Amino acid sequence: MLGRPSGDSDMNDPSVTQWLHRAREGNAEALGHAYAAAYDDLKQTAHAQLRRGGSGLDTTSLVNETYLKLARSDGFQPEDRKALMALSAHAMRQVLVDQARRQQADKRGGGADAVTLHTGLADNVPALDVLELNDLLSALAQADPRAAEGVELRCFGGYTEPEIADIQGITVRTVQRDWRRARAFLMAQLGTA
Amino acid sequence: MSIDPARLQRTLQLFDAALEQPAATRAAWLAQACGDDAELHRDVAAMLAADAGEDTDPITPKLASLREDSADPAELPAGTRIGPWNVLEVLGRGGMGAVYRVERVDGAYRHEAALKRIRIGLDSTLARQRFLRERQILARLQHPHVAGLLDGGVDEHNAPWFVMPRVEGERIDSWCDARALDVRGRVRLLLQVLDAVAFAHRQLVVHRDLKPSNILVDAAGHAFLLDFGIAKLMEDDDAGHTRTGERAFTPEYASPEQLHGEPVSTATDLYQLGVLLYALLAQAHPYGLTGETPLRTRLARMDGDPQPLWDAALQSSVADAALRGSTPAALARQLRGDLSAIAQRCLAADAAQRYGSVDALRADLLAWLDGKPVSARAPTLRYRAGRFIRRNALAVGAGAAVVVALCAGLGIALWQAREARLQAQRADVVNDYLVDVFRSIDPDEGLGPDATARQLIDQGVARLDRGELKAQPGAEGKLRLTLADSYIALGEYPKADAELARARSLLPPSSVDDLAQVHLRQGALRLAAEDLEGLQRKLDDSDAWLRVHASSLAEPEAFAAQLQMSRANLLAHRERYDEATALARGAWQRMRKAHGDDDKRTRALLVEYADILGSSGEFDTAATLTKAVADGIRRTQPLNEFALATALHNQAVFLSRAGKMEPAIATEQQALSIRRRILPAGHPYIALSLGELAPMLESTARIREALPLHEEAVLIMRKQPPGSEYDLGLRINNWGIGCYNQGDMACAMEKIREAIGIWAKALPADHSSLLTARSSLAALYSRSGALQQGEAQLRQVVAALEASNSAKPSADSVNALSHARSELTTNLLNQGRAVDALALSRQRWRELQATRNPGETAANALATLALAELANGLRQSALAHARDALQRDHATAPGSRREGFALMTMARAELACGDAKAAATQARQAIAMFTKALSADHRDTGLAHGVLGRALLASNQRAEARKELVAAIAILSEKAAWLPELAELKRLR
Repeated sequence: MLGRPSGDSDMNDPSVTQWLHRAREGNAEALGHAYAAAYDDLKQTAHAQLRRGGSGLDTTSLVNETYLKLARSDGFQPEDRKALMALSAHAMRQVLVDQARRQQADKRGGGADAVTLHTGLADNVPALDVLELNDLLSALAQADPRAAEGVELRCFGGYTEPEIADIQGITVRTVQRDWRRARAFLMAQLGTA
Repeated sequence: MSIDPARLQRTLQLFDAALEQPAATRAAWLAQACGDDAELHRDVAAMLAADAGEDTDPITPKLASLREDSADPAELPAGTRIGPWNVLEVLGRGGMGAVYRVERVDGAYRHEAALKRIRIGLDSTLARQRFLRERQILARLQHPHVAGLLDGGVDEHNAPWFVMPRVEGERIDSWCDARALDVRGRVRLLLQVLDAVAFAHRQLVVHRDLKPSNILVDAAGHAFLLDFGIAKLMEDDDAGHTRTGERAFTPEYASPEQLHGEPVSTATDLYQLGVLLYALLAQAHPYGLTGETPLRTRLARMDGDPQPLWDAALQSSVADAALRGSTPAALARQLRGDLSAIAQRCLAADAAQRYGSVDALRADLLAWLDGKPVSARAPTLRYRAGRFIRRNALAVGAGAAVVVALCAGLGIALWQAREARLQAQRADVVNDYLVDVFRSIDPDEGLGPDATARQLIDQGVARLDRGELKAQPGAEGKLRLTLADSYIALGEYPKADAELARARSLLPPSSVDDLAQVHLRQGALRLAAEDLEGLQRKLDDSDAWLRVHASSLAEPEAFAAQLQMSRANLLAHRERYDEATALARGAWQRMRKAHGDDDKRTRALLVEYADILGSSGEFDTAATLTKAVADGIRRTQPLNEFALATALHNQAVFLSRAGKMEPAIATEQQALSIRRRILPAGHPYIALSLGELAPMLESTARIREALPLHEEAVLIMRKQPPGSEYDLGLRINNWGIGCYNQGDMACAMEKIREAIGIWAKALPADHSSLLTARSSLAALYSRSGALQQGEAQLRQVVAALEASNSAKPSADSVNALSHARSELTTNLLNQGRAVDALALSRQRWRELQATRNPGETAANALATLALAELANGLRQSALAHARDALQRDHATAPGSRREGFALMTMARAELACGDAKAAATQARQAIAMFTKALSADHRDTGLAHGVLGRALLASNQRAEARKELVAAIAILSEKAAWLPELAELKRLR
């Protein structure tokens, strides 16, 4: 399982590739830094994708973009791609949550800029669901971290079960069991809200 | 909501366990499992209920709807107001946004305008300000071929928009296709585009997204570039850094630096113009990419070389070629050469290698349109002198190098390196060694005194295969390694490979030194087999192995140095000569430092280094280094004369290639005399020296001395066992050339025909030696008056050479092509087709200029060019070129027939320019030279008399003139009665 990046990365940190290089040399902490740096990239990209709409959040192209840059550096291994994929799903989740929070704030009259949203599904309040989902996932992660990550990879990352199995290093069967469990939990909780 | 993690864990566990219960008893089981904990029971039950419901994923759709909600509208409806503009209708949709037809609300702008809106948010004030500032710069881009920026802003979704005048036109590719515009027309149209891009670059604006949909052409054929610099605006964030993920380019047109997120510059536009060239001229992509090509594939393909433009054309469909007014084959012919080189130069992966500016590209295209030389260089064509030296440094005893020179076709020197598969019958050292080896296995076993080395080794392998050393795999491994060495010495590479593989599997991992040797030999075999991919893999494998075992090796530096040299060889074979020579030098130095100058291995590496230098055309240095090798051998006790002769021979070859004929001859003679002394009569290495010496003599004024050498060399080679056909053909061919130089046309034709006969059976049809010989024969036809037959032959040869030269350029094919064209030019001139001759000789000169070291063929090319120019009335140019040719020939082969020819050409040029006196002087010199180098009644001497006669006539010395003319006519009537010049001379008399 990945270590989660904590907080924002320092602007003065060396680049992702440099961290990767150090990680290759055995500096485990460096790997964490590398991902932190990549994470920021991913988030930026995810934001942009969101704005563009169209086919929506696309983790594949997200990962491709960052992979491109990283693959040019020595020491970037294929396994890193898996880590990137997981990270991208997490980034997506974060972005959507940010978005949802903003929407919520706007609706309550907060926020400096008046952002005009496309009128349409004004009655539906999906924003709340995302935030709630987010909280639930965080809670789930405390008890069953692997299953929570599975949900993140599936729903936010859009990855298939084989891909999830590959990223998490388990069998597809296990992925399915995890999902069954997580889904039951989430639905039970969301239904009662 | 706060959920206790421990409780949640329990809940989840119970859920899993409950599922394992049969449905019927589940509820009861749960009740019991939860006991008093009602909350627990409730939670698990809720989960089970949720699970029992529909098997759907409720979450993802919610997320999807959220995404849609937050997205920018894809299309604005009519009537939407953006700034002072009203949206009327949608004109088109792109990936980043839509284009609308708009009008000004206040009617201030009467004309039709187009508004493009990009769905990218400029979130901060800073970003918006930056954008607006950039917009000012763009608005100032006023140029006839740039669709100007009328207005721009940022709307409430933070989406930037631009307005430009509406261009009524078609995309450039559709426009060209609709009119079936031919290549010239398309190029001319592109010049407009280049104008615009050059203008923008001067304003420091890069387009970054040059593709057909961004270039519109109106009905009048006026091109407009759209979206200038817009890509840049969208890619940068507040600080001006390029955002990741905000790729505002079209993937097929993306340059390498764009794909990798590296800085973009004006060179990026140049790259895209290259891709555009391919699209417009050949309906193809240089890397065969489309919009759907996956990223990984894209990156992989762009790592290699692009498909040549003409090749892409050749593979185009009949329909596509017709849209360019041609057929695929004719289109390919049209695009071959300069245009392909131009396009290639735009596409260099390294931005610094592309044209320095759009103006330079423009200049080249203009030059192409005018039929003038272009500056774009083809990939550097060096003299691929091939493998001068056989990689036999590993074999025991059997010398280190064999160099074969092919001198064919009228003064050409073609260097062809190949393996000399000679039975090492006199490789005493190998025999002795083997005998010892076998003695150590079974002292009583003997094969008799006449056993050949090959038989010995085969026997040895057979015995091992029978299991003689089954109990001692380590010993067997070592022995097989030795046997592999012997096979290498004999040239039996597949057998060697097999033994090496077995050795590797048998040797214990602790025998690092032996294993290292296995690695080296396996690499050498890949090289010998020209299996470059295999060698690459092998080297990578060996490097990895070395990294692990370096500390256990007895001599890690030696091994590393040898590996490095292998890499250098690999690079040299890939014609990356700069890298190869640097690496080779390093490898040699490394070995030198570790083991000293006199170590056999250091010497071997020096030999290989010299070889690589030779391949890259650095003949002088190669010669010097080889001399050092020879000196080293002389210093070593006991003296190995065989190796010394080889080193001297190589040195001589390098010297001759560097144009230093006298020293070359002297050195080769030394090698020859050693070989005569220590080798049995009839040994092929003697033929080698003879065969080298003869052309050297011929290229100075000693043609007559050369003939007996040819004869003896051929005699020796005829007696060789099968497998030496190439060498035999070589000697015969060269003999034929010797005959020709003597003026004996019949003998020349006979010999060259025989050589062709031998080669045609042993070599592939487009083998350069074979083609060169055919070229020579064709030239002989021409010179004996069968002009049209000759032309036909020559055109065939030229075509075949062009094909093989384009597929795989090398010094050999460049040379051969150059001379074939020279012959063709002469032929055409003699047929009176001056214009064709001029075009051809120009082309030949241009291509030669592109090579780094054209050497001796340059003078010939220049002289021919001068003649062609004379025939077309370009006197001044002819004079300059003739002078150049003369200077070169005088420097490299003074007093030779070549210099005579240059003199004669010079005389002709002087005469044409009105300087009869100078012409006469040169003509006299030419006569003297021809008389000495050839004979008084050689055809060329006769021609020179003719030129002198004409010169004298022009300065009104009638009596003298008549004498010369008479002499000329006498000679020519006998030797070359068909020459049109003869008729001319008769008339003058």
